[in-house]
Amino acid sequence: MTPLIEARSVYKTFAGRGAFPARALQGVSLSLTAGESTGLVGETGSGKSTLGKVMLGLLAPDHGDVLAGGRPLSALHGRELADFRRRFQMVFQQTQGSLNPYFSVEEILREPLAVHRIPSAEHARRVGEALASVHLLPEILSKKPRQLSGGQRQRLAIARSLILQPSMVVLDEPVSGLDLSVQAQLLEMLAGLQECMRLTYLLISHDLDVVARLCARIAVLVAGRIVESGPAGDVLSAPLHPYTKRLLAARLPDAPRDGEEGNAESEPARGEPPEAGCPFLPGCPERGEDCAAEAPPWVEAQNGHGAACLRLRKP
Amino acid sequence: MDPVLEVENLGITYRRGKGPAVPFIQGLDLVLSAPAEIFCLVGESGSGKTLTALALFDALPPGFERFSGRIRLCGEDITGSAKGRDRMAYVFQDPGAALNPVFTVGRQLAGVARSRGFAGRAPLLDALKAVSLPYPEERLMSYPHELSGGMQQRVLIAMALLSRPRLMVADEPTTSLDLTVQDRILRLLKESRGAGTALLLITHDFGVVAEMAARVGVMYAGRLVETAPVRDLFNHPLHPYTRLLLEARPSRGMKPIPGEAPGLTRPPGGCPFHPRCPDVLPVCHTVFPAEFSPDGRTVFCHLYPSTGKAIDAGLG
Repeated sequence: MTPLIEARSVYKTFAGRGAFPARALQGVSLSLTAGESTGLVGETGSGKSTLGKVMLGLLAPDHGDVLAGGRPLSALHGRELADFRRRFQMVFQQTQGSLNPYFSVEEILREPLAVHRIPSAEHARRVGEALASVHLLPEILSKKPRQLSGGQRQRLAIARSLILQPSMVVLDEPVSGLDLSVQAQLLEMLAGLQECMRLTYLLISHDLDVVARLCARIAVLVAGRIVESGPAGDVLSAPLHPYTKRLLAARLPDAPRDGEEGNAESEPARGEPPEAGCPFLPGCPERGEDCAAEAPPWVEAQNGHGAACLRLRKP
Repeated sequence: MDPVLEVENLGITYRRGKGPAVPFIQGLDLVLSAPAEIFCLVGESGSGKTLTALALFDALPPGFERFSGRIRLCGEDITGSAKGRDRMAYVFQDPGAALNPVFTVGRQLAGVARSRGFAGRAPLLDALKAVSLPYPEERLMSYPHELSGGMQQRVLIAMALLSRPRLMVADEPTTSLDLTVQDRILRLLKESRGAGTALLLITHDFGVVAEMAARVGVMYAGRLVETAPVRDLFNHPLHPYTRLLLEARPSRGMKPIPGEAPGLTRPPGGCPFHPRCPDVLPVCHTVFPAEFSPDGRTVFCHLYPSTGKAIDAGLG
């Protein structure tokens, strides 16, 4: 079965400086089947947002390819490209940057319809449906983004991504920074939409609980490389890679712990990953001497659950 | 021995433009008694938790005004004055916005150090080491944008610790950070304070509360509706809002609370939670509940008998 969309061995480097790596993606391959929402988990700077943008053709990879329905994006032009853009949408990380502050809610929702030449007779109906699908009331149509709460702006960004009835939506940190109760509401809404609109999500987040709520599969990214991927339940309950284990251990407790502390003491900030070798090397509690020399090969466990770690290699 | 912080009957109004002053925070009592206590003030956005913290520093934003109450820091009345600022420190939610982008880390730390009478580089280096920032000598020369979010937050905490405060207020200090960094920063806050620094930690996240708090206060629409030691709050929440907030945790399936928190200008009458409360009684629509304070905890809810003072509606 042809994947809905697929990244093959994608490399992307930015000419950058400062604390974040310039080598954003180093040979990343990711395949999404229609109906199988995938979560992309990693820290700031791991490359997850970059991968989302490359897969949507918003950024061109330096090497490697993205294929949509088997066709490389680079081969799409004109009508085919417009169709791809309509079917593959994105909700960006910060609504402050992605919602035009000069536009009213109505104008924000109409903009994609105009760009894709949807007949204007249909606009009002589509706008009304989009608002209803995210539980926003028509009275906000005349408001500007700054007059809405954070949760409402996020709903608006989601409504805008759905108004063209896409097949896939890339959601980049859709609920981070919001109150937990608002997160819960939005995630429930997204789960409902996934079902009734038959959407596939690529959900980018640093939060495992958010990803677990919506995704069938999880891929974990460290410094531009996927270090583990598999069915969401398996990755969360039986993580293979030391980084995934660390992520799971770093989650805040559900209730106050009995007695004193849990695990790690307050550690220093982590250093840069090496050129060759494993991307998690600077922070890994299970590192060995071989880890600096070679990039670890992929090891499959079962069910399509695998990870890239030398410690997994059977002797 | 005086409690580190005593807030008594704090009331704050909100006025938009030339409109009427509407009471928002009302009858708020808060006590941090132990010198190194960690108290978490938890609530959704708009509940008034940041406003309460700003009131301690006499730093209310435009439109907000204190209309009642007294604030005492280590026994001294600091109400309505900037007197307490030399013994308190504030750690902001967004370190990237709180740090001055045109000054180096060293220069910003030096500013704090000088105001406390410290001179030279040694106290600055000590402050960065206390927050486990690697390569502290080099970091003194760095600009904020050259640091990651987690490192910026460590710098803010270093600045707070430099002033040797009696009370540190941290307002959602990890909300904008990744999970792995969040974990480390919280531990840093817990461990780096001296024995004489209490921490008022503002958050919407019960995971943070579970990790950090000795005592917890729950705020809704400007009211402190429940206060308790942390285990009591988690195991036996009394207020319906507290119970629903706990149900929104990931382990409970992230169940949302129906409805939305009220805005500033049109608070519901009586108990502000009544439109969303699963246990609402007729009296809840018109009268704010009196205090019920069994065994070291407090709740304001008509489900419980009252033991003491009723909240005066003040201007409302």
